[in-house]
Amino acid sequence: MHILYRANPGDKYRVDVLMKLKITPDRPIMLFVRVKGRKGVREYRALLDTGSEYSIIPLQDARDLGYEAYCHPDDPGMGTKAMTKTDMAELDEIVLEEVGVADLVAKNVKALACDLPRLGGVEATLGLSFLKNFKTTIDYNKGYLTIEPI
Amino acid sequence: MLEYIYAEVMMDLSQVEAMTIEEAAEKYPQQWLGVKVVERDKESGQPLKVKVLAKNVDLYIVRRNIGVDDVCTFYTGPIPETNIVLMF
Repeated sequence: MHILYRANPGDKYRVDVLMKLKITPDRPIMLFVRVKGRKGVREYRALLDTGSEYSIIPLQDARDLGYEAYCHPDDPGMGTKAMTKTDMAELDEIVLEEVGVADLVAKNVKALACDLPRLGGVEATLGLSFLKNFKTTIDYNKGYLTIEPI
Repeated sequence: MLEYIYAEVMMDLSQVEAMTIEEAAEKYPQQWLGVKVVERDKESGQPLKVKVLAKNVDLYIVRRNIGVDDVCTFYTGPIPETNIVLMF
């Protein structure tokens, strides 16, 4: 498997790498995403969120992977303010060493360490902090999501 | 209580049955699974076949017990669950 590193504009990358995933209208786009930290690698089925500046990984996993995510509600002012649909939350902003989908890997991806409601079956999201490194196409006519190098 | 399908100290991973994501979801419905990916789709890079390490209805219990050695977690129920819509 070839790995693409394309976090910075000057980085070299393979131009023949393309991630192509079948999608269904009226369903959330979910895809498996690999997150690397200095202590290991975790993979999630993440929700593609083109409306979010940040990606999200679970708080416990952030800590397990070696990221400093210790923001506590009792210590206001220490974290990054995040706006949800109904509230403001203060979360840990972290920079993920590597985030990968298939052969496409981005380095230094901004993320929030946050536990999403488990009832939804979603534990992580893939936001613009990852997508900005690639060309992403959602084609419901053909029924595919494609992510490729810029 | 975590139900181990596989634990490194107990069993060789090579002895654990590999199954597709769909088979795992059918066998362990509406649970969180901790799995090792053994085969991926060439076009999408998405897991095709996995070996189930742990399962539980509580994601936190699964996460806490599977380590960070390139393991994968996912929910086997519908996403979102029936009668729930995702709102971010």
